[in-house]
Amino acid sequence: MTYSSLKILHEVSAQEDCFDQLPDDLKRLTTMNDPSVWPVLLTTHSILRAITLQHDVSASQISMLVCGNVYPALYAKKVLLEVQNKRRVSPLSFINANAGAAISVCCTTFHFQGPSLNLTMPSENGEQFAEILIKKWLNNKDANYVFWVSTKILGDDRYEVRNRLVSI
Amino acid sequence: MLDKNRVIVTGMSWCTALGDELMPVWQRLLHAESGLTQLPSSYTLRNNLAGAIVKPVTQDIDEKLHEITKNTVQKALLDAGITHTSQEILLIVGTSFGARLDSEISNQQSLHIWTDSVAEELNLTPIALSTACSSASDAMSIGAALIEAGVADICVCGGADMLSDAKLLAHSALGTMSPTILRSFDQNRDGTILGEGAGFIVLEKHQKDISKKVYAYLLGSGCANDAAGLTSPDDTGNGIRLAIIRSIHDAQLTLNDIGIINAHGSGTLVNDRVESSVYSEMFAGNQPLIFATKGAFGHSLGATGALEAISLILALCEQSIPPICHLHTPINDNLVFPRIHPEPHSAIYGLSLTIGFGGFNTSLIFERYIS
Repeated sequence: MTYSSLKILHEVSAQEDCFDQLPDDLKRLTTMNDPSVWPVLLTTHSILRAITLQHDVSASQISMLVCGNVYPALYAKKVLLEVQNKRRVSPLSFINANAGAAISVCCTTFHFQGPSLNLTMPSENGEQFAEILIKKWLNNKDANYVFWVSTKILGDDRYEVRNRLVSI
Repeated sequence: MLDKNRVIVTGMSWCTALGDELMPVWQRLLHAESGLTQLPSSYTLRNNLAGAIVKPVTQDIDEKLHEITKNTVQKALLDAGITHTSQEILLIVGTSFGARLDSEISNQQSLHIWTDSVAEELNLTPIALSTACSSASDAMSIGAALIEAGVADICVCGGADMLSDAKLLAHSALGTMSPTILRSFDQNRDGTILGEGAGFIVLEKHQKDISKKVYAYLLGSGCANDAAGLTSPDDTGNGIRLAIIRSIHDAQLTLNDIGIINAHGSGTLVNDRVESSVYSEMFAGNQPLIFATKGAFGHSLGATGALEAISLILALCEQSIPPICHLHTPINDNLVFPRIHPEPHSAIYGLSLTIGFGGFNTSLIFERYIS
């Protein structure tokens, strides 16, 4: 089967320490989220500001796929320490340790109800599979636009997020 | 609709609170047996009931996850008649990472390390994912998409998740854990009970003169995000609705074609209300039979989509659906739920739905294979 080729409409990158670059309203919404959420949220916001989507496309037709090895490390550690030291887990820590937190926060913030998927593997290994899935979503008209997010751990607690808005 | 390779299910295996042999566990489901038992804990939990694996291989949670996953994948491959593996076979594994929240070793590891380790031992190529309670369903959806596109001929797809103190404590604190028992779609339901397990199916490209055993076709899949926050489902049910519509479209069917549904049925007040409302509305003209297996297995989180897909496939093959454990007073008079006894049926097409924290809704459509 041959799918239509993807068109990259816009691309933005961000690194881990980007909270201050978020607009004030998004800062207020996400101050308690894991830091791994912020670059995904910032780049999605930036892309939405930079381009104009087709006027008849609803948010239910906008999708997000994240592929990479960045995950909510801060809250994963918090949960572990809460169990060890307090013998309980706070709901806030637990829900923010969800591996798909960045997708969930972005979809909630921007009301995206297209397909969403979180591939938790190095982006250089997962990109070929991500591309097939995105093409299927777009060709099936499950989505008109997909935010294709690649994350990469750079070492020393540093990571980079690359966000591409694609369509066919 | 694009011409695509048809995808068949040729092997299945599971490791559950009711055991790890395919047909014996199925028989226990038909007899409304529940694997939920008291699991003593040193922590104060809302409920000490859980769906624990019957024969744990080790107490170390990382080792347990690795061994259970590896063993279940191997058994699925054997069931498919595949005795020699290669890197051309993809191993697609979903989990919600219960294990890493308890483990000092894996807590800060990259999320693919354990999957790579299993795949390396089995000489397979790994794909790792995590979409909470839809992880295993999404793994199967990915496998089907890659076979349809001609990228792979064989994929072993599913999920695994282990009971962890962190998850038990978290669900206690969240109030999603039942203080009594898991009653899917019961008016008196009061929450879910956690479980653990692993389930994998082998997907292959359908060849014209196939001689091996085939359980079913994986005909279509669809997913949608609720866009309603990190835990709450979309109260309007629109996320569920979209996932089902997309899977129906992918399968090139209509809603009327669906004869049976294996529902998410987690037993929480919100989930079961929203989910049953959607079924009642969407299938108003032709209500399918609806069953749910979490009362038997517990809610096995990242593995649940696989256990439920396997149950659905067996329901299609055996033309019978198991009764829902602990269901006495159904939530909705418009819906048909089997209680106490198994329900015979003649459905050709079945649907399996999972709903995950973070808004991940996934719907899979299977077709009974008739040779």
